[in-house]
Amino acid sequence: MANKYNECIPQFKNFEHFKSKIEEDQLLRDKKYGTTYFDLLEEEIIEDERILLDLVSSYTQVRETLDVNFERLFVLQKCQNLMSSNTNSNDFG
Amino acid sequence: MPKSNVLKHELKRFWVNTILMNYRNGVGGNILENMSQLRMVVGVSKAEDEMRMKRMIFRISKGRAIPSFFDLDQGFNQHNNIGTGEHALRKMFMIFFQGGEENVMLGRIIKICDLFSASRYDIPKKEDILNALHMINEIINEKKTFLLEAEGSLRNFIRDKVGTVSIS
Repeated sequence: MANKYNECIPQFKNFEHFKSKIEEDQLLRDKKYGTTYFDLLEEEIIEDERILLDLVSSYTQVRETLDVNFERLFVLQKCQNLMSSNTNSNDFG
Repeated sequence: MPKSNVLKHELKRFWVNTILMNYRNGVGGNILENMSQLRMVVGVSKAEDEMRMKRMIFRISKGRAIPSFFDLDQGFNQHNNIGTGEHALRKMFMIFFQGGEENVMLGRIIKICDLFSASRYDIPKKEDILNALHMINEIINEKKTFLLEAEGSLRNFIRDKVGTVSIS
């Protein structure tokens, strides 16, 4: 999705860097009783996916409506040109 | 030119002239059937379907419906190719045929349009066409703003999620 919208994904320099960031993240998270770090991550990923899909679907919907309106606009303009007083039956192929 | 082709050409010329005359006299595309019983279906289909659609219309109407295809303005196909470029080149069509209110031919033509996933549009009366164009332009501007907002929130969300890892 990030590639599709030309957003770059930051990469870790090496394993040490990755490990230090994971430790920082672990400390930041509010651990609930009985949940592991992976449970928390999973919950967050599922929620993010839901939000992302909602955003993409609303974007696609607006895009489709815009396409239909553009099509209608061009059709009406073409009809207006074809039906104008300086056309004749030869213009219809 | 074979005799049947000459006849077909003449019929088409007569129908088109009648439609143009009706339209210029202020009769809309949907109610062209006032005196002449002539109707017109207008829409947009994929350019690659043109020949197949023409052939099917000819077979189903036995030559009594006459399709004409037109290239749409360059701007339209350019708009369609923005982004992914997955949209195919599209052409506008006008199908002329004769028939009244309970028209079997109209039903068949609509079925053909649906079969080729072609969109159909009502053409308003001559005096209403400018209003319709104005209204569509307004809707387009509104939708463009929505689209920019939707894209912005999508980008912000992605940036927020992938950007939380700092490389420093």
